[in-house]
Amino acid sequence: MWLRLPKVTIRLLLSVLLIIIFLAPFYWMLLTAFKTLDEVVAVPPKFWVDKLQWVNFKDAFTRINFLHYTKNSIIITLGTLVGQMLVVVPAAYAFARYQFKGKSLLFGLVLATMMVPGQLIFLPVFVMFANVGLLNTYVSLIVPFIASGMAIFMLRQTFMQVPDSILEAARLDNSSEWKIIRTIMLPMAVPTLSTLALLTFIGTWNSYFFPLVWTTTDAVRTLPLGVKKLQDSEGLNPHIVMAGNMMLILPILIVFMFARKHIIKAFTYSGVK
Amino acid sequence: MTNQWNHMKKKFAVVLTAVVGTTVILSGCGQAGANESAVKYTKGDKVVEIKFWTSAMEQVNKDLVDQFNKTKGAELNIHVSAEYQGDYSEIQQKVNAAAIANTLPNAFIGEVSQTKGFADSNTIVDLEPFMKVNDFNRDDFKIGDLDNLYVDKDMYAFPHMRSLPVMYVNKTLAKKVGLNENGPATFDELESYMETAYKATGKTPMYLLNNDLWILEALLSSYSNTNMLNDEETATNINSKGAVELISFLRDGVSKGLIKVFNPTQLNDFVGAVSDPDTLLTFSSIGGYKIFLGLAAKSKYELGVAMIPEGKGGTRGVPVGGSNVYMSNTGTEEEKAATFEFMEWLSDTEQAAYASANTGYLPTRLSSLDTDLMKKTMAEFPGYKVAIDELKFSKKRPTTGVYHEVETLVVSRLGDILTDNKDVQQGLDALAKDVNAILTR
Amino acid sequence: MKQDNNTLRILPYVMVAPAVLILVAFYIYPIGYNIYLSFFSWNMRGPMKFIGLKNYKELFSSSDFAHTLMNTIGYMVMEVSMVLILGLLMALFLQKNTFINRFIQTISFTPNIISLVSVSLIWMWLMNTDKGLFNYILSLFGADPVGWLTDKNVALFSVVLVSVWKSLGFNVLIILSALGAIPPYLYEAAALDNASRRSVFFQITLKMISPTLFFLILMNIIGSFQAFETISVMTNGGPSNSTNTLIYSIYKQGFEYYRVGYASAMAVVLMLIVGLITILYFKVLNKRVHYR
Repeated sequence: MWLRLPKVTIRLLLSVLLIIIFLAPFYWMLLTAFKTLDEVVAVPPKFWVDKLQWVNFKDAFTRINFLHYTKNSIIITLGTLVGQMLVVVPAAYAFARYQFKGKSLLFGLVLATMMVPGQLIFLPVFVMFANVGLLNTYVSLIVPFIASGMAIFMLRQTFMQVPDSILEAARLDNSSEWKIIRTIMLPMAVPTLSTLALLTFIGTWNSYFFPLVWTTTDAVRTLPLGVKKLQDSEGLNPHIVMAGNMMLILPILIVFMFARKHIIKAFTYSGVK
Repeated sequence: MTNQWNHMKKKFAVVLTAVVGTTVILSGCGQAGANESAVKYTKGDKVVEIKFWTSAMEQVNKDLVDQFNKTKGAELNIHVSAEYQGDYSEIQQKVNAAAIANTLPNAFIGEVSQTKGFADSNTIVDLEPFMKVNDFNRDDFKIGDLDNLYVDKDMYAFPHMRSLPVMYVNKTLAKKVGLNENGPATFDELESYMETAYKATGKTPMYLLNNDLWILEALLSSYSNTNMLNDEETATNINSKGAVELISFLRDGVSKGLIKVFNPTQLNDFVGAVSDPDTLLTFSSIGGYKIFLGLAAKSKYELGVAMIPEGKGGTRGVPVGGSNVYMSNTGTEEEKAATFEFMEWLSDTEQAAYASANTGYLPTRLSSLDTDLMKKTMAEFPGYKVAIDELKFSKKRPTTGVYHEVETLVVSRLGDILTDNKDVQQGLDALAKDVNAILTR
Repeated sequence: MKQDNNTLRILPYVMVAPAVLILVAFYIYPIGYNIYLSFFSWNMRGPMKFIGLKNYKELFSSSDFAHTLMNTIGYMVMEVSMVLILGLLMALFLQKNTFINRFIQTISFTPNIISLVSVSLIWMWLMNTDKGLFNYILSLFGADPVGWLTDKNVALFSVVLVSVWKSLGFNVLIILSALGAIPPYLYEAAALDNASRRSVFFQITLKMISPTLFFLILMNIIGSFQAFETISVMTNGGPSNSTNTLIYSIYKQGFEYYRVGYASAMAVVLMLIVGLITILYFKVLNKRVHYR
């Protein structure tokens, strides 16, 4: 009996430790974001605040052009989402349902791009953009990401599961191919599509590398870069940086709260594809 | 799935080989070379808009631009908009990026050693044709060494806010611990000077900000009459006997707690050190004079300015630093002509005096010294006089276009050498080898 | 009817064209263009100068490149081993489907969906030498403050730690789903054989999830080569180049010094490393499949 009790206790202690490890950093950000500068630098640090300093958020909002970066983030995220649907759906459909010459070669090419770490080839792509005058445009931050190899692969698998009989019936009714996609395929692929949309939303909203390396001005730079800029200029005011940081995280957290199960499933799927 | 992958891999290999094999040769972007001709500005009905990027001293530059727009600009239908771009290395970065993205401003401020790099990459234009059509007289630009304005024999820049490294002395502390308020005159004195203060306060007396090589260039020249690079800029002298002596001297001070060197990311710590009433000496730019005075006043101590100490046998040497104004290789003939009008105004006697009096930077024209503003300022703030006296020993900074790379490398390595316990000569030899590789590739 | 057939013949190409063109333009072609650029000396503005293998020669004689390569490998080894060992332990710990375990799994996953910039900023503040929470906690135990991001002997580890914290939850998730896929009858059979817990773990659990672990190793290795945000936000490659990795170095050489050819040569080296590891992965995978 006495052997069992410590085991349960150890389990409990480990659980608490894990909770602290994963929640404490978030709590510290939240706390700092609501402190005054004096509270931020106080020794020993305070683990609670008496009065919430909402003004920090206002400061973060005005010290960088928050609206500008947010606008860019929204445009680029929406653009990528919409563009991806327009490009990926027909491609996945064709790869799933048609036989055509060169199909396996083209599909192999699509799969091969999944193995190319995009970050390694940012420089030649930058040069390409510079040569055609596409630097500092939304296009440069949207188009490269709308044809994802993984998305095509996942969607193709889904389309292939649709029984042939349904398609044959539709074709006998003289339905056009676009109508078949719209009325039969897409409704059946809603779970896959929403999985893709979630992954794309999270990936694009959080993206820092490409908006940094494929731009030379703030014109189309996104919120993560804005918040990094806040750190550069307000490094001595962690409360303002953390307030800005919270505003960057918030949309993602809200989506996570409502679609937690779905997001976790999406990531599991992307991980074991 | 594995078999499928194997199949795909083969296909992929075929595609890749094809792509690599037939790589299309993209043409490099063809930019126009430096323009050989220039026109004189003639006032039109339309306002000519000029974009001007500024660096360092954001407010003073903004004030100057506002003055221009109200006076000469309004008269000539030229409107300048100033945009602050950060410190010298940030603006260099942004100008280079803008040159590639075709978003260059019409004119910009940059650090003096960047001139040749900008000229070599066709980012800026030769000012000689503009000076010719405007009958511009350059003889008045005479404060300190002016080599960093020229590439080959052509002038590519106007001097803007020029500065020298000086030694800021906490007079209040010096008096308190029984030291000469004017600071140590030689490096030999410097050592005992620091030790006295250290014994009295227990705190580090001297601070260096390792953010660029400029201060180190001054120390090298003063301590052992050594230049960072040889005359042809094909090799560094950083591992010469004189350099090893200086670095050993500094490291000795660091290990004894007499000297502290901050790395480039510790700007805030540096400001904190200057604000500390127990800090005795700080080596920095005269351009920050007004800022240092502000910090000293806040911390209630009296601040003095002294020349960088002299080395054995009375050697001295201080590189002229600070900024130039450049005209970008962009825009129409009319915009360029208007830009020159603005640059001419900005470099003129009154404006040079205004910039100097409000910062600590030196006026770039001899005639500025005769203005009432400068006379009044120099009477009130003795530091100006010290810096102007120091000009006798002024030198040019290195000009090579890769100097930014050299700086980054040396600053990063010196940080190690000054704190490690390894052999100085060996460390500097290895560094010199890498610097020479950059200079000669 | 005939027209229909014609349309049907062209239609698939029309449908795949946008995707294929984009993928070729932004993934396949740049690989070739990158290799091409690596043979030139070019600053993106002046003329391009063909210099053959000179960039590669410089690369392999540069002590900074050697340092960077060592940092990259050090980063990879630390990251991959920490993520996998901690991930496996945590997954085993959380295997039972209880409320508290599900809660821990959810919160450990949260950092994974948040931008690495945000995560870096939070940790940068925690790791602040003077005012950070970590050094305050250390001071409670009488320990000296640690220069988490300013001490060149610690900074690389600190940066890895942040990345591990972010990606641990994802790895736990994948390992957990692999654990859940082990058929229960294997355990039942082992129980009948009175197998020791140790042998059950090694013979069944570890063996059954090894393809997943293997896959995660590859993913984490490739991911570690692309680590950029933490370094860009927290250390800028410093102090004393101690956190300067290949990808960050490519960025620096490319966009700070505009040495396009040299940076491209570095990217080629990195691509070869990644390619080699990927090929190795499939080789080993094939072998395993054959032996089974």
